[in-house]
Amino acid sequence: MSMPQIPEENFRPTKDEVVIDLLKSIAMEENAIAHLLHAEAEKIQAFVGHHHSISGEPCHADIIKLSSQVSRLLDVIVMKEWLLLRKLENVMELNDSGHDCDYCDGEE
Amino acid sequence: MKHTLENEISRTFAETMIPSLLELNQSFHQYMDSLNDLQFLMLKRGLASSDSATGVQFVSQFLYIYHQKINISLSWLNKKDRVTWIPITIHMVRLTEQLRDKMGHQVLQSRLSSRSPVFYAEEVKRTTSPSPPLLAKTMYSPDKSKDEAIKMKGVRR
Repeated sequence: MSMPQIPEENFRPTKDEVVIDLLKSIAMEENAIAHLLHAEAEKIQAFVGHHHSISGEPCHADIIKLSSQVSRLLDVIVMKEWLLLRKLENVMELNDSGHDCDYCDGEE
Repeated sequence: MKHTLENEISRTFAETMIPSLLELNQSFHQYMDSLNDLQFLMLKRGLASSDSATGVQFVSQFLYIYHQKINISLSWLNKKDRVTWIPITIHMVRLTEQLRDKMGHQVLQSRLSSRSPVFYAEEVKRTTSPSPPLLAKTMYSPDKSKDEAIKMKGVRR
């Protein structure tokens, strides 16, 4: 089995740029999840009827269905959060590994 | 001011990561309020919520992960030998205050909800949606213009 070939590109980010970009990508994903949770909260509020936006009197089946959807979403979000935590830990480890090196300090 | 990777990472944490985490916390808080309203409606209708234990487990996991991420961010910023970027200090004071308020509220609510099986029925204040992330251009951001200039040179040849 051959190794994958990475095509030559004009611009390749340095390790420092990669660390910053990865941190920003984590922040953007967190922000996306925040938007998702906000939208879901608004949806539940509309359903429950505080603001009477969607339904006045939802039937039992609808309530149970929504409840299970809500639990599933929470499950997915918690899974995603675990992955983001692992990503953050790995990025910090990547950054530390590059700067504890005596050789690099000598060069600076 | 000397631009170092440490400073840029600190800036990313202070200006992008921690605000995003705070937005996440706020949205989660709002989501939990809505969930409590839904559970209250279910109880009122006599519909037993079978997965409340699972829900509690998810919430505790979420809060644990949130704290871990905040700890990683703050522990980076708290190392003074790394941070020479002065606005961070001012930013940190504000963030600590904000964090104390929000997490304090969260803890208070979890205590109240554990005391009684019926969650809040009070109306949730509507807030505006979370703000989009502000990605400030740093000296470490990839410079696309450089890339385009190289491409243009290639075309001319």
